[in-house]
Amino acid sequence: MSANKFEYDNLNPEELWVKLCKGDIEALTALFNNNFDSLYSYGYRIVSNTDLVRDSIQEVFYNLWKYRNNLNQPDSVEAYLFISLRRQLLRKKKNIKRREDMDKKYFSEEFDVLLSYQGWQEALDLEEEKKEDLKEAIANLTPRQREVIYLKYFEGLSTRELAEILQIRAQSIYNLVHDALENLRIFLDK
Amino acid sequence: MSDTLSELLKDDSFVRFLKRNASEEEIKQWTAWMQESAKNEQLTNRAKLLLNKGIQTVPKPDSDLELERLMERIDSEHRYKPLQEIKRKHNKMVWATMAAAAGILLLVGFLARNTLLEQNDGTESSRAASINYQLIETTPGQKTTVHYSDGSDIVMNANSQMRVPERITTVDTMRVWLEGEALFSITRKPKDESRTFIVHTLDGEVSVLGTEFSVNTTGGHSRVVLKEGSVRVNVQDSLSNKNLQYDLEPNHMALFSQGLDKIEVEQVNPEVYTSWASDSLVLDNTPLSDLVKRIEFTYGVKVRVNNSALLDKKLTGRFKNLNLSFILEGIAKTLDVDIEKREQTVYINEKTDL
Repeated sequence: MSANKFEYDNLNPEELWVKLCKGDIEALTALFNNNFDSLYSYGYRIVSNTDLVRDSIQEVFYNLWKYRNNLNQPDSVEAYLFISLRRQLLRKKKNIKRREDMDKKYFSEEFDVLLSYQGWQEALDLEEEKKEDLKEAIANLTPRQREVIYLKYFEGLSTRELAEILQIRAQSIYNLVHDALENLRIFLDK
Repeated sequence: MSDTLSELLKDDSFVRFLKRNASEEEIKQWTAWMQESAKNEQLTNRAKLLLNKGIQTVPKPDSDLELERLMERIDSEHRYKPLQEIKRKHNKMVWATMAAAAGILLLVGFLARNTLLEQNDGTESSRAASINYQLIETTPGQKTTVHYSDGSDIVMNANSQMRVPERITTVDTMRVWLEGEALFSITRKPKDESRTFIVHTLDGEVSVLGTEFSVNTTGGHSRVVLKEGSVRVNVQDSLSNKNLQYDLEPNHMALFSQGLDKIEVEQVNPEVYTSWASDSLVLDNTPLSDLVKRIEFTYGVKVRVNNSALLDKKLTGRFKNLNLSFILEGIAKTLDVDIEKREQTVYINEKTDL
């Protein structure tokens, strides 16, 4: 069992996917373990509701297993998981919005990148009073820009994967990144 | 190469280098660049620090518990699912028996079967070990009946598969796993011998004491129609941890599926849903769309309608002959439409005024 586990640790997501489609539950387990944290971090930024994100992740992997016989191999398994979670959450979010006059704090933001301002101060040597400006600059980015920044710089996804997840062309991803960085330039290049 | 942080961060190759996704070539290139000047090195370190620390970590739920939750949900489906796997394993056993000494292999076979059932039935393994299950499958247009010694009957409709005990069991719970459609006539036991009969479907379970009812799992959900007696529908949704229950009365139809947070119940004419078992087809204000589904399911054909409004038309009546062309003729006359069957497809078209 433990020897088996080790074997799965060395497989990349695409290899795990192949095994999963053949009905290998250990492959599903490995995919779950390898991706749970990053999926949760991402999902929580879309909807800051722990239970909703947890349930949606369950749904993503449950469907993966349920439909394993009918799944095409995606170019990037990681991107596939991100897209699936995103869809689940946006659908649930819509339902909640419709159902109740929801709490503004939780659902008004389309994507809360949740930066650590202390981390920025430390890395960029910013003065204390710049903190509020930085907050404001981040708040002024569009939700899409925030999402791209998050996935690109903090999750390390490629432009191609980003284009897939957000369903826009690669060039648009470059533009989003470019514009966002221009807005943050005064903090980055001081 | 750039000399400001904002420009560097626009460079995909540089970001790959920081995120450790870069190719060897890129690593070499950026390492060399870093060593060119103190400024380059400082920029790289800043960028690294920013990408490592610039983000809040959110408190995460325990991923082990989450995995457990997922596996529980998959298991609850699995218990009923692996019909095909069981069949395959049986075949292997037969082959093995032929290959070597029978005495030893009987034992091997017995053990293999025990473990198999243990996997599938989990906690009930010790009991299940004494029950032999068989898989029954029907092809399009085929129908089959399973008789039990206590007078219970199960009639399976076409295109269905069901795992059933080979004989009436002595244990107090008798289980079958159904994918497709079947009509159950379960003989009620004397009061002191309470035995529960349970039909498992992908969506939940139906438990009975003694009664007549039909279960259908085609169409993405499970449908139970009760003719006589009483049955209980149980839906355990492992995702929401919800446990739904409904006790059906005669003439009730219940619809349920995983992910749906309620059991829908309505009054119906049970004949419509059970008549197929007695070789007749009863329609009672039944929309053509339902009848089309039934025809596709029972006869393994595709039905194409050229005007979707036709699908809403209601039909009432009884077909005593279940020959497909006979039924099609009946529909053509009643709805005043053209019906043509070419190979495995039935075309229902509105009459053109010519």
